[in-house]
Amino acid sequence: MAIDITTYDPKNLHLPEFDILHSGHLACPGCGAALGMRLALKALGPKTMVVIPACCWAVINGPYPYEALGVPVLQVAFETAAISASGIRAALDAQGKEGITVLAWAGDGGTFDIGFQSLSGAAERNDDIIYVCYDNEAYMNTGIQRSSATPYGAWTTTTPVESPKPEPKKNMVEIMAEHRVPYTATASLAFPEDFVRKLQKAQSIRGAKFIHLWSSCPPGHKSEERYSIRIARLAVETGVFPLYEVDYGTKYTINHEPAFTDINEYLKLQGRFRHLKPYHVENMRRNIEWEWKRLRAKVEMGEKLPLPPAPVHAPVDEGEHTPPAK
Amino acid sequence: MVDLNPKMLEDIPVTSYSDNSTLLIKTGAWKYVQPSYEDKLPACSHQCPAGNDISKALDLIARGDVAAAARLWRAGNPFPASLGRVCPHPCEDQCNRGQFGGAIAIHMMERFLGDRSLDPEFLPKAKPATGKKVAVIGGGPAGVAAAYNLALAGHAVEVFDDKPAAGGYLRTGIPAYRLPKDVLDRELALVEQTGVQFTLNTRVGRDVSFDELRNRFDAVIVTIGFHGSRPLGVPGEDHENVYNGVHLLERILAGERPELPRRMAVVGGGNTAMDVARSLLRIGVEPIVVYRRSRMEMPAIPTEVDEAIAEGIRFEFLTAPSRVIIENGKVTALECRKMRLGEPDESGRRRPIPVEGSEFPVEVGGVVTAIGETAELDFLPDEARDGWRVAADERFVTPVEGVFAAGDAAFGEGTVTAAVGAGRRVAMVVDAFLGGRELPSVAPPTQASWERPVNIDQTVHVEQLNPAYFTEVPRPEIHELDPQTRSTSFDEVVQGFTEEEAIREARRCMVCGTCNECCNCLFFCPDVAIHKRSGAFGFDIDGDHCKGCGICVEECPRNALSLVEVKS
Repeated sequence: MAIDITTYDPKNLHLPEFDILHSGHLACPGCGAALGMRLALKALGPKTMVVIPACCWAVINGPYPYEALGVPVLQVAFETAAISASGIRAALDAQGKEGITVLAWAGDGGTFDIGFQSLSGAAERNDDIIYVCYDNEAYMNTGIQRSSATPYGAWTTTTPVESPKPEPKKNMVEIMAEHRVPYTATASLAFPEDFVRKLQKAQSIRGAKFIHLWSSCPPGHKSEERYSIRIARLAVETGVFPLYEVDYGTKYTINHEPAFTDINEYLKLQGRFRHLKPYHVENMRRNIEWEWKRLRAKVEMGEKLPLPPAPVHAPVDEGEHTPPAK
Repeated sequence: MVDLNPKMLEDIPVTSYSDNSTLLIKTGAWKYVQPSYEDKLPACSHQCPAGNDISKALDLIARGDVAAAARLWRAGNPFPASLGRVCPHPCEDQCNRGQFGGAIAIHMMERFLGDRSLDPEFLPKAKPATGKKVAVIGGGPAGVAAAYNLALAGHAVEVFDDKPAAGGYLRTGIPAYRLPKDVLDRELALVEQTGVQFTLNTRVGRDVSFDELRNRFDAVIVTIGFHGSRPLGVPGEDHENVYNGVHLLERILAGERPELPRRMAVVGGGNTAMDVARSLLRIGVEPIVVYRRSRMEMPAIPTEVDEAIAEGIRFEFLTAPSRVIIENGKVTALECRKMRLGEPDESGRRRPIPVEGSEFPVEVGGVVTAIGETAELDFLPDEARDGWRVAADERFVTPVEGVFAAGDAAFGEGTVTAAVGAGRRVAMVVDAFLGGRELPSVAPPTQASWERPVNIDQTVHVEQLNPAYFTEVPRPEIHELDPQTRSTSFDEVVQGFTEEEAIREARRCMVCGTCNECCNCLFFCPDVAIHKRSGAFGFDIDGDHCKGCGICVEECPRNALSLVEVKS
């Protein structure tokens, strides 16, 4: 009997069934970063080594002598996520070990600000690592201080409601794409299949891969715990956080065409935006419009451009050794 | 061995190395609310007068287990194949899918499952015999539904009917183009298989006395329905060419072809009027439906009216008869008066008001009245009567000890589906009575007889669903015979679903309020605290680690979970 399975509605999620992450970790209830790690381990499998710098996850993973990940984890200093991952890769290569994925898992502070130089270096060297930034848009672990990932208008303890953050969020994906790494992408917890697919695609590519995961944070965003996924979905559907991927800094692909829901639907679920005046919201709306124009232009440009040329290798030695010309 | 609770800094090695799972940390102690799986009533089942478990059955079909779905549907309802054809399907008006591409064709699914389960292997297993005996007076849908459920509960049931065959209005009032009689016969044969004994051609009060039944049986259920027709109350209606709609329909459906005038007026706007008009058309009479209000207020099932109009039947709306015109002993016309609509009356419909001096003749050779029916209660003792109906309270209990009443004769709900539901409900009450249990203050709703636990106090409407998980999928077309060919035969008009069509349609069902193991709760849990049961339906929540964030409750597409407070 021929039944078109695509008409099966609701759209059930198709995700790997096994779990590597253990219960009992110390994430707050409704934590997006915890769900993100759970999905990442589902996608990458047990042959994964994880590097965690100072960030929420350094706490979530449990106090000594406990750990939640179920795979080898190296907890390192704040600014060293990417370089430590590069080092693990070098060590694995030196031992001749293959088929192991090295994952650097850092927050927005450790990526956008403090860990940026080591990340840029790893990208420039095209070290074979996957770097996931779970972005909860502030230094949540230390008590909600602004980072360069904090969006325009948001309240944090260092951008109080009297003077909310005046600058828009740094566009980290474009910065990483401009390093010409083979793969950069954004991802959302509300689209777990998309996130898992992107991680698995990254796993299949040699070189530096960067994934920017938008992550809910109930205590930091001042939102209800149960709305974590709804807010993540609204971030995508309002156009605040586009879901796209970039191959070799050139080919931009939009993965989900948003409904462009009224941005107030997104803002009203989060206490960090409660103080906003209509002009703030208007500025956000205009910024979304501008960012989407840029993004669509990049998609268009990428369609016209070829991917980087295949490298030409040194000629194979054909018997007699020719000394270099004098 | 690592010290799990290091007290001193010196207890921690220089290069600290953790290899104990956080599973040992019981984060479940943090929570003050916790999720719990709780199926609720979908809007469709909430509306279903017969109490069918629609969402669960459709989910079973969607998984390909048609046999289990058919078994479930027949568990308390003896007439799915018949109801799937004749029910006005109020469920579909409320279907939450209505806003996502069009309501599920639930009546077609019921018919599909009914046709699939016309075999004894689909009957539920009866409980052990109790030794109690029940008499059911009237073998219509209410009586048979009560008998079927009581027989399955282990009681010995005998059904008395004055007709040569059981089925009541399903047989005498519904034409074969809507319900082929072999379908009804096969469903009744299944009821007999459960042990119900049918005593036919036996009218209580004529062939057997009511008191005798009361003496012989532990309980008596009166489900005699409406078989008397109300008079028109206009001059000339005692002429031989003025017919009682219920009785004329009964004769036509029994295969009689009485000599009838070529053109006849059918007075009324209900289902009987539609059935009479469409049946007359099929035996070569030209019917003209005369109804005193407008199309909007017609109590008939809307699709029946659509089909009648498609077949070319003429309607005179806002028209009421005032006199039957008889010339030389023959009916030549029905004199009618135009009406206009006034304020709404107690039925909520606008009251028709005659327009003075608007009399006009509708030229016909005969008239059929179909303006409402009454019960024939002469065999009952006075205290068991309440005007036109049997006196019964909200528990279906009559003032006479051990006598219960349900269906049209008691409450006049007017559809076969409501009668089946009433039969199921009265069966629950009588079962409690026979078991010596305390009777409820109100008869439990039909859904209380479901085997799976469901919170019947909560109905899931579209606002309670998570729209992110549903996309629009259009309702399929339902195949009907061409109006030209069908108006000359009693062949079934609506064609049933094939298995493929049924599965496709079941997959459109959003399964509101009913867990269908979509696994959203499991996949979205940040704490890995929800686990699929191995080898069984559903999930277990790991209370030791669930932090009570409630994401699973929010992300359940169909509201099959609830957050409940943790009791300390």
